[in-house]
Amino acid sequence: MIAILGLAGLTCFMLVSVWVGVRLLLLARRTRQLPETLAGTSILLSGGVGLALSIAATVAPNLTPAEAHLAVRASILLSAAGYLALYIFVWVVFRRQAVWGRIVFGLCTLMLLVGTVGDLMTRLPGEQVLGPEAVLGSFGVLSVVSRLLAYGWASAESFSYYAKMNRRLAIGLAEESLVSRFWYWGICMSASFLIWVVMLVDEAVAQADVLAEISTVITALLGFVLAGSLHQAFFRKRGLESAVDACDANASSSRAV
Amino acid sequence: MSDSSVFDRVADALDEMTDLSRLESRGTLRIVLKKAGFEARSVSPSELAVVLQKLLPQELVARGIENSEQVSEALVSSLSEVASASEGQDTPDAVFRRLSS
Repeated sequence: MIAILGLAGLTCFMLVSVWVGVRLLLLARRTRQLPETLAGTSILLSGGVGLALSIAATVAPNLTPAEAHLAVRASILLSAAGYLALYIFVWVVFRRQAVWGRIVFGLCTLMLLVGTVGDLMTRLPGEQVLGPEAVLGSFGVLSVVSRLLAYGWASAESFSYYAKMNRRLAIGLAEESLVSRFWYWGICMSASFLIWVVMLVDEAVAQADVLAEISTVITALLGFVLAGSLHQAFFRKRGLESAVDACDANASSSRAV
Repeated sequence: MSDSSVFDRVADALDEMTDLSRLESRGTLRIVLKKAGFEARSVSPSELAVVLQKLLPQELVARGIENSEQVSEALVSSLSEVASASEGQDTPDAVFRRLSS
């Protein structure tokens, strides 16, 4: 039952990631702008294709050990490409001109590259990246630490911008729907951050049975949170957005009167 | 990190139009921008105009400046001639606005 819940949470997140990632890449094709290309690539590769491959390697019954190993390695590689796209997105969108932004970005990228290459070179056939029998290894831990840092940074930037946008909203210089987008993106980044924390804790406590079940439930719930917040961040229903913004405009004009 | 040219220009104008020193003028503008959720380096002329209209008068009154409304209006008028590089810049809000289109 717990395993099914875990699978459902991750599958839900994976499906929403494919949907949102593809739509962002279609948008990027129209606008030819870097941020949407990066966001779309990141969501599609790490949350969509990379996760789908690791789920397949864990639960698909018909895969030979060689095929499962190939799926795991492909998942590690594609997910890392997705994470890197997110690192660039956070740096370019929020801290393009800050020296410290370049340093944090460089540090995260270096750790991710070393962790990924090391993981690909040392991972043995049969070692999974998902589920109770997942193996991280020291290179995997390095990669997860890099993600912790980058997703924590992304989360802090989103919530900080959300606070700024709320102040702009109060004087009529922002729309409610745009303000809430930063909130949902922050939730999404925080949920990812917590998943990495759970992975590290799992690795540290060497998979005690009860803790493994708890971490599966937490990861499943975070998967649902990720799916919901990701969708809300980018593709909230247009009718709802217009209604919210119209209410907001009315409230602003009432205040002005 | 340098401030935007529009911020520098308005700060200089505030310095000239009031008894505030250069440092006080810049500090007052920074406080007003922070209250509105903006930064001196990235605020655009149109955003700054709204901030000046809505928040600057009360900050000037708090600093003992007479004619705070007129001073604010004069600063807003001076902005109409300013074209800033920050207008249309890829700020986080511009990016996130685009991402749901």
